Amino acid sequence: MIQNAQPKANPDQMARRSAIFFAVLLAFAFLLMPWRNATSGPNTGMGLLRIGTEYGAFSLLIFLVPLAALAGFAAGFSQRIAPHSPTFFQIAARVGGAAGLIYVAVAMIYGLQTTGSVGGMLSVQGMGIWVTLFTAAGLIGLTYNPNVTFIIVWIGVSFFFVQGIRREMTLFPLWSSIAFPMLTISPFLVLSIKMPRAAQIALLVLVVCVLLPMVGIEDTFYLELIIQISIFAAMAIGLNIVIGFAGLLDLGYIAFFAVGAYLWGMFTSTAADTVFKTSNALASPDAFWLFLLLGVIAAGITGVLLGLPVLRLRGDYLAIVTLGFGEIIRILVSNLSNISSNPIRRVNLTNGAQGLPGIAHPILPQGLYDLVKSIAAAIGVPLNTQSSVEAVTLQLFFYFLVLTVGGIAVIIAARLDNSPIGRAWTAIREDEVAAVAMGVPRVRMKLLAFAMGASFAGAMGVIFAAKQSFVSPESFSFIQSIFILVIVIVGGMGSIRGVLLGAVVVTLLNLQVLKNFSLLINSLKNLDWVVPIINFPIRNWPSQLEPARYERLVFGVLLIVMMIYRPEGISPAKRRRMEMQEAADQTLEEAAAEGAPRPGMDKIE
Amino acid sequence: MPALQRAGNWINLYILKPIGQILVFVVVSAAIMSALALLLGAVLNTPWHGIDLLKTRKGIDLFNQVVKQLPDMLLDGISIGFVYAVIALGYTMVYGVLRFINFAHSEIFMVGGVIGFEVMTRLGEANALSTMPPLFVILLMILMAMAFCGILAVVIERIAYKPLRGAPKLVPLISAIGVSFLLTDVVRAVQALSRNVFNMPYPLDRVGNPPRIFDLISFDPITQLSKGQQFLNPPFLQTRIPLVGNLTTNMTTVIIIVSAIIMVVGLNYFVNATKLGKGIRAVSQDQTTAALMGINVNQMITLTFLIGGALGGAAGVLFGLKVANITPYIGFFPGLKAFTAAVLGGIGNITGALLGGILLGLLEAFFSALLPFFPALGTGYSDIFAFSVLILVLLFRPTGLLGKKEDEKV
Amino acid sequence: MALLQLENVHTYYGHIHALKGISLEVNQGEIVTLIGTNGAGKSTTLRTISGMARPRTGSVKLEGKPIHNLPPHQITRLGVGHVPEGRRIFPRLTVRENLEMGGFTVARGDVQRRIDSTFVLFPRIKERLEQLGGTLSGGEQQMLAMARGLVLEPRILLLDEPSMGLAPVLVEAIFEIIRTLHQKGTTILLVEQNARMALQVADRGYILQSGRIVMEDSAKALQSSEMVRKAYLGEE
Repeated sequence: MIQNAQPKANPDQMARRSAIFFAVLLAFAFLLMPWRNATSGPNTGMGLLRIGTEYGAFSLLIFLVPLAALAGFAAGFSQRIAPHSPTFFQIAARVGGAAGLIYVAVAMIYGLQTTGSVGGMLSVQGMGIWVTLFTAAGLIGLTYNPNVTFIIVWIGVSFFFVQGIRREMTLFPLWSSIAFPMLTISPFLVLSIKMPRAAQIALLVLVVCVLLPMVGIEDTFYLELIIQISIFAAMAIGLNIVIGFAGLLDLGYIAFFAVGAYLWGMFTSTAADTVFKTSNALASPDAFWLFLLLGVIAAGITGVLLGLPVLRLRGDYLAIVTLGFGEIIRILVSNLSNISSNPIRRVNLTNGAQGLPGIAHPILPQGLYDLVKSIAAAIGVPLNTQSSVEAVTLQLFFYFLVLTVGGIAVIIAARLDNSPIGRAWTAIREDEVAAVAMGVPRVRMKLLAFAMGASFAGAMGVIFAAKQSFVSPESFSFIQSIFILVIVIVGGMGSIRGVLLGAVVVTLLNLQVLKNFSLLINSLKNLDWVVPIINFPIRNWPSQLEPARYERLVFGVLLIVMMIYRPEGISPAKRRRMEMQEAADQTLEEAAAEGAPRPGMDKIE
Repeated sequence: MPALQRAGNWINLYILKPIGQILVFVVVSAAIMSALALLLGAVLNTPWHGIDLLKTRKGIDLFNQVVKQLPDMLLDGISIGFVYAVIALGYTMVYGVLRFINFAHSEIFMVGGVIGFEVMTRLGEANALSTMPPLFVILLMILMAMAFCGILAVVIERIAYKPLRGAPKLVPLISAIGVSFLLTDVVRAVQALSRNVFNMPYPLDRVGNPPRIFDLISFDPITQLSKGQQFLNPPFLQTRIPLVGNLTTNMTTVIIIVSAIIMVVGLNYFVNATKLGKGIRAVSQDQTTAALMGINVNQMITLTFLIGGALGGAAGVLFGLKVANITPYIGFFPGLKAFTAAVLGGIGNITGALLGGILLGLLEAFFSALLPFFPALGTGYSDIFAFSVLILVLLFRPTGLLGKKEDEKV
Repeated sequence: MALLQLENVHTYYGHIHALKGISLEVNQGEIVTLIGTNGAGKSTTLRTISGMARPRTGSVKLEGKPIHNLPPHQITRLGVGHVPEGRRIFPRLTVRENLEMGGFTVARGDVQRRIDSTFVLFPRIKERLEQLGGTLSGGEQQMLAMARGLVLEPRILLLDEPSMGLAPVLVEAIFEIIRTLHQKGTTILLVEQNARMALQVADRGYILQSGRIVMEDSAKALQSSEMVRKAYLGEE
């Protein structure tokens, strides 16, 4: 009904906006970028000046080239607006573009001379960034195709930015909270920008399968982050089927995750072996793949069993009841440490609140370890100890496993959305009574959504348990369900791309940005820093007011703000946007009438 | 004399009748629950076909235990039941008017407990806690919490719910979940800034109890206690109040029950006898027509949130007096139990909330008292029962015990 | 000056253009009727006057003062009583409470007197004062709805389909009451499907067709108009 809700910006505005954005990016890169090998002096910035002194011969060029490149960038856009009319900008673009490329060439030759190898050159003084930047800027100027170039710049800058920062830096938390999200967001930029399909896929594979794991090998914290993101993304895809497609608010979704996790945990943990009085774990690590399948099935069955009685309920009641189920599962696993009334023969299923330790992970072929070791050595991060090789290999294995399973989930969800089943869900979501009247089998369709969503979570649960090698009831509390809900809501209910984006944004916010704030405060505390202007000595910051522990506040604000200003999410599904818009229209109408009549009660004459 | 007769009528209608109703609810629920417990005790006392759920506890006579603990279980259940009932009133009123589950109500309740703590601690710091009349202290706590939470609920409605009126049903519910999370952490942050701890123990022993002079020297304003401190009198709130026969109870229980009854009776009067109360009911039945009558619908909704919030705040203080320790996370379970109570009684129905609260309180008290006798179960399960009741009620009687079938149009 | 005046009112429901430039007047003491088929915009006109729907352009004036920007409860306070379509009794309030709601804006002392005065017209209501509104029969509900509207002692009463779904005897009774009200000087804007009855009690009438006024005349003239007789009175 409302297609023109957001008027399209005209190309001129777009060009100006992008140019300004790009200029800011460049300025930022020049002035603030902290460099990796900058061992002398403060570590916190002034990249431009540093390069200026060490590569003195180029200092003049350095000031001129970005300006020319910028002009070229602007010209690229002016050419798009008014083709076939050579302007001053166009000429400037050519000149700037050419200058940029020349600079790159000269710098590369100089770099090669001083370091002796391409790899060495790229790692010195953040040369990689400069090469990317100026190549891209030059290309923009020469080709007038800013889209692909822009994304290459983005990926290049963020990748080398992530690589360039080091944990020793005082402001590391700040830099890392900017650089890493820039890199992880880039796949979505690739998807949102028009370009040839092949280029799109190539760039996606480059970022997801090459650059991110590379960054992860260098710093395992990033590896952990991308695994977490992928796990939550896959779960959010599942929850999205329940909430976004079928319109059922499930507040206990984490319960199915727990089913999967405890399934694998109970059979392989070192603590739960009292179940059948065996001295070893019940299942061998080899059974992992079987259990991955079993996890899917078990969670799906749980979904059906829980859903069967309650799916007749109205939406808001259903939400509360699913919350109740989620809590019941959590309480059960924290109490099933003894299910026998015989004091001698204790039967321990879940080891209660202490959780199950020592859960097995699948055994990987030796070749995989060797491969990872040699890759790590090739990119300049040699893994010296056997344990670090094992840890990194395992993590990488889980990363790609989650990617694969998540990819399957995405494909299933996407196909479902466009199937008769998906349309039945849409019908139920939009008007349940009418859908039933049209012969849509309501309960069966709802059950299917419930079971599908649950089975994705079950698979992730098995992987999660194997990866952590430890599960405890704490990982399955209400706030975890809300966390996944926030992902779906922020991304956009019903939109698969939106949900994936939501997973990246919200997980990073929760696991990286908030933590980094805490780290930043602590490191500033160590420096005895005083906030200027208000003269607040940072060491007086109360220890309990640590940002990392205020995720509820962040989730809460996100939920409220999204519901008020953008209930369809940041990357909405088309249909959802329409539904929300209709509702908003109605709201306007009712606000006008002040005595808001209930929807549906007042017929239009 | 007609005036006198009218006054008599009034007292009969708005005071005696509601109190009578409450009494009936309490007595009937208590009788049913006791009968069930005794029956259970008698049945499980002897092994059945060789299955003995009590096997480990040698020599335990479950039936005797039930009999012995029954008075305590009843009093405990009734007092916590009244607290649930008062919270449930907030859920039920908002639901009645907006058909909306105010998920944040549990956190408003929690804030009430925090306000009670703040008032009490501040009074303690000013050394007024021990010198002021104890009942006045408690009244002050309740009133402050009511005022604060009432306004808080109104502000929340304005910011987070009002812009969403008319949106699909789940949208305001999600917003309410957001508010609930936000409130928890705001309280945490405030406590972190002011005291750097999250536990808020009520200085109950201090009430109406002057410390001896030398105690003041090492006086800790947060715990209100100092080392080796001794009180001149037994703590006011621990005072035993005689009931029937040998049975006694403590002051806290009496305070909780009496103040809850006052609030319920007051609300009953407000909703049924005043113009604004009737206006709220009219709005809850048909907003459009209510507006045509000249009723300002928004004002009525605001008023509903004000009253619901105030009741939640008061319940927070009562809960604080009972459990003596408040944390920012305390709202969740009592909130869910109170919501269950509201659904059990029939959501949107004020009398129902009362009945549901009392029943649920009794149920909880019985569960927590008897679960330890079953070694395979244990007290860890005591929180499950509320959810189970909720699910069972919604499955088999979604309109609740006193609810009428709702004429809901789709 | 007319008591109520609509000038070129356009009202939309979402994207549906429901009123396309309605202009009409009601003078003090008149009964004016709006006649039209389903969906012609009769109820929307009333809803626009009482503030339930907002005109996008045009104006609604009560005694020359524009009221179309006021919220409904304030319009009611100015003396516009609206008895909505389908009666809309509060089902779980007693009859007495329903009547009290009609006098929500009235000073406390006056309400009882006004309620009592409606019993003259609606004696049946008096017998059922303590019953719940939802338990009344359809005819009684219509009586109650009208009585509730009259407690306001409105300067203009908007009646929306008062005869809908009632047995013929009751329809007669309702129109008898409208006549009585007219004699007492109440100004009424009446929307009716039953055009014949409506034109019998009304002074003037407007014919609505898909959001526009297509004809306007005295009730007598309309009754004898060929077009009206064919389209709305079912005569050949």
